[in-house]
Amino acid sequence: MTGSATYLYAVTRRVDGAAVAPLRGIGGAPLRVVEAGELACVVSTVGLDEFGEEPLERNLADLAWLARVAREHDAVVQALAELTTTVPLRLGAVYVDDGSAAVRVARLREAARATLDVLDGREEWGVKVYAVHPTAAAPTAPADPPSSGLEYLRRRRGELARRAVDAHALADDADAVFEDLRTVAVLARRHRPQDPALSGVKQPMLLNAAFLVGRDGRPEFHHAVDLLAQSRPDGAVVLTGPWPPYSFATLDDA
Amino acid sequence: MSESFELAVIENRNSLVDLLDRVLATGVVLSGDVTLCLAGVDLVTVKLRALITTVREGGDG
Amino acid sequence: MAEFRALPERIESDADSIERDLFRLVLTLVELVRQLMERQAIRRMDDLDDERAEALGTALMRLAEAMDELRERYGLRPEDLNLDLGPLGHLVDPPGRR
Repeated sequence: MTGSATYLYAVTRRVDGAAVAPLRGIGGAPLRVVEAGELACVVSTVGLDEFGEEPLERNLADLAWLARVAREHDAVVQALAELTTTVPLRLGAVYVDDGSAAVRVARLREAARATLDVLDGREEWGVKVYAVHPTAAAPTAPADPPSSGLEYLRRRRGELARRAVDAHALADDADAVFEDLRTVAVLARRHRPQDPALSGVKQPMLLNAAFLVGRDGRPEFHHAVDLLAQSRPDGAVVLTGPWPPYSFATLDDA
Repeated sequence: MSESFELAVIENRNSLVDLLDRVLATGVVLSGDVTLCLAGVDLVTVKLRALITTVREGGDG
Repeated sequence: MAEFRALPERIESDADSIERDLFRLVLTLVELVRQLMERQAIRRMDDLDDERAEALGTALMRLAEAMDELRERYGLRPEDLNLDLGPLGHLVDPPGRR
């Protein structure tokens, strides 16, 4: 597949093209600023051999490709976030050309402006909570094997029921933690718990959440996370950040 | 104000999975699909979701 | 619930490991079916007369034992047969639970 397309990284308020000149995007390509009214689309050119509909679908299922492109995308978004309030787009916002991207953003200008206002002076922090000790040591399986088929079924039913109860307790716990931290954040959002095969962490993940916190509110938020961490076993609470506000950018493109 | 984060563990922002949670609309998982490859050639791919659906419909729900 | 981005799991084999890897794939599928059958049986056990339930339970118990034996023959742990079935959860729960 030949040909190229326009890849959109983020939307900001109007910014000088010179400001993005030192930055590099996917594949080391230079960045451009395309104006859409008083908004700016930060873009670069990508190849359709990589970002056309079919190649992209294939590539998105390739972890090595994902890793590289996600990092290149994030590097641009991070650099922009240091310059100005940035509404990051997620990976894969590809347009036929610069003009199409600008038209799309112009149509979303109300939402973009509103989002920019929400994001001003704020940053994202991630909080992950793990179940370091399984809830209630699993009742030791009876030493003797089941005496009958019925007995086997009863025991299995009991085990599954116990697991369901444990799962509920963990879910309630996660909800409580999320609500607690939400009170010291501007906005909060939950992500799917991470797949242990990807994260490399065996302990169940109870909570994978993102919080939008004002820069002034950072100490208070961190203090709350500290308190949370103190009330749990070592390593159960992991704080990541600051992130560009990916989880709170409502300007989403298919 | 000094910021001390010793108690909560702060991970390096480079964690790929944390990044993917954010730059992909719905995060990422290893699916139930399994592909067996030999000498770099994908030989067998099993799509397990289809299998589960079939099995579930087979029962009386 | 929105579709999630799924990466297929790839089992790379070479001539030496192909048998074990193929076996792992097959056992994973069998384990999936075994668990579905077991859960269905548990759901229905109260509607069955004792004799039927007993026969069903015994069959499932034997199946579980056979699975353990097969697994061990190839040095596979329960976690090696694990799969994320998305909204259906994991095939094998974290170690420590069975």
